[in-house]
Amino acid sequence: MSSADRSIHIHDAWCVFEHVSGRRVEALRGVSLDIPPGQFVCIVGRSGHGKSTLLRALGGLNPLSAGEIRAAGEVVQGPAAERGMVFQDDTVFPWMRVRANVEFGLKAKGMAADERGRLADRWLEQVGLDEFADSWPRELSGGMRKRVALATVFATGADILLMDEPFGSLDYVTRLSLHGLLLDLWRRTGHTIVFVTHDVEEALILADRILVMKDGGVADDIPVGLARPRDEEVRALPEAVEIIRTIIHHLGLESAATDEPPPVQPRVDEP
Amino acid sequence: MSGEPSGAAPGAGPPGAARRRRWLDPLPVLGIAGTIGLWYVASWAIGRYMPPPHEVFEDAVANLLHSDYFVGLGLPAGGFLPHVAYTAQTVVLGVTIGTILGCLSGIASARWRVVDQITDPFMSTFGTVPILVAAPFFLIWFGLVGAAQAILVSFYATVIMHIYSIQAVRNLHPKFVEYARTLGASSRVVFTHVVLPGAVPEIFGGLRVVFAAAWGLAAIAELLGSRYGVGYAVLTLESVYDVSNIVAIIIYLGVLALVMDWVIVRARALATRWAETGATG
Repeated sequence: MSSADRSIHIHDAWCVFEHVSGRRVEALRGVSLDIPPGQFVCIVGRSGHGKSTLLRALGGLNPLSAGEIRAAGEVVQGPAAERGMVFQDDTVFPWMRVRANVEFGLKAKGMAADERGRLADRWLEQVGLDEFADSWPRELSGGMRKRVALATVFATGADILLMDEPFGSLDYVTRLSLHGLLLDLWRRTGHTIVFVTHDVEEALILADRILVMKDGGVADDIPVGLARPRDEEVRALPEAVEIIRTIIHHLGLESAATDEPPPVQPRVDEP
Repeated sequence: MSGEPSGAAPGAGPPGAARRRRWLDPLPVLGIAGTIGLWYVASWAIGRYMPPPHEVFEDAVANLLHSDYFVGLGLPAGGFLPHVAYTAQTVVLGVTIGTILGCLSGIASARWRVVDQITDPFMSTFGTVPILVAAPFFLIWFGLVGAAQAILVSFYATVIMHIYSIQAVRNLHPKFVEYARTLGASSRVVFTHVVLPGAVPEIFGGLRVVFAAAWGLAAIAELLGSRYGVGYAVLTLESVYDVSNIVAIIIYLGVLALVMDWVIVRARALATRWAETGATG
């Protein structure tokens, strides 16, 4: 759609929350990052280490306490259609039929009804839901509603997609099919995608690059050179195993992260 | 009647749905028969002041459209009908005005903190004033016949709808608003396309509560002072110990209230087809 710059530049981003109790939480502690246009970046990390905060800051939903984020050539100051988001929660509007949902962003832009209807139908076809354009969201499965959400952000013409554990609540097989769909759409549109997940295997299937977040900062920045297309068996490749080890090391399971056998007997609760 | 044209959607019509929609459900019939049976027993036990169903039925039919007997009591000649119609008019008028005012003030309060701060003391104070306390003021200010009862009903309807519509807007999950904003929606579009439609089911819930309460409020207002209406008719009939006709007019009022409730339920089902399957309760 637009030929805007699809890169993201984060410079010394801080995000500090003040709790009612007076406790200060530094959710982001000086994150600096450059994401080139068209890159598929996965952010992994444990809960509460700043993954979602960073993504929401990119989306303009969490204001920064200090620092700057530039996305699509502009300083991020609030939500905008150029940065589409897909959430873990089911956010498809239940009171709109599927087509109206896909059209929503275009309508907000002021596009004429017949034009946005055509675009919506095209994207519904892309995600395999053309037969369900006139259905209510409640008549679809959770995975189908995720497809609606994908069709919506793509139809809206976002150059940058921000995805916050979008497939986290879906079953394994549905998730795999949505991985395939997302990669397919990404290949054809060339969008920049930042994808938060706690599932390392998901990151290995999707990412060009994996960022490991810990304590509000980027603990590691791992390029993923695995050949595409990839499937769920990718995790068995030696390079993938190496990446998994590195990630687990950062996440804190020390004994599983080293090559050498641990000096003492492994703890009983270790798998 | 309401067919199911949902068609292609998977799981839209479970096989049990068609079976449940029958002309006569045996259980409600059993309930009604039981009530009538108990009524006969009560009538036999209490005697004169609890007339049996068939007597009430006879009075109900005989005095529906015209009644010289009512004229003898100083009531209008038209039987039950003018009273029931008058009360219904009070209820519909009062609820309509109150719903419009209450929704406007409630939604505005949910959207602008300033409006909330201005309206809240009024709504939370006056909402707690019992109708028996409020009614005499309204009757003095607005007169016995005409506006007083409708204004009284609209007053309570406003307060109830105000509270319901504030809650309806506030209960909407913030995720929908965030999602809409990331799709580039302005705050006006968010309000008209997300906040309002999301609030509709709860507002209908409030409307049912208001209607259910309004019949009682109108009748009480009429008991306290009026020249028409079910409340006034009950008061007059009570002075001659005519229980049979009192029961008859209360049944007419109850039937009308049930019909009204059914209309709201149908309207809600139409307005919120997106929300649930088979909302016919």
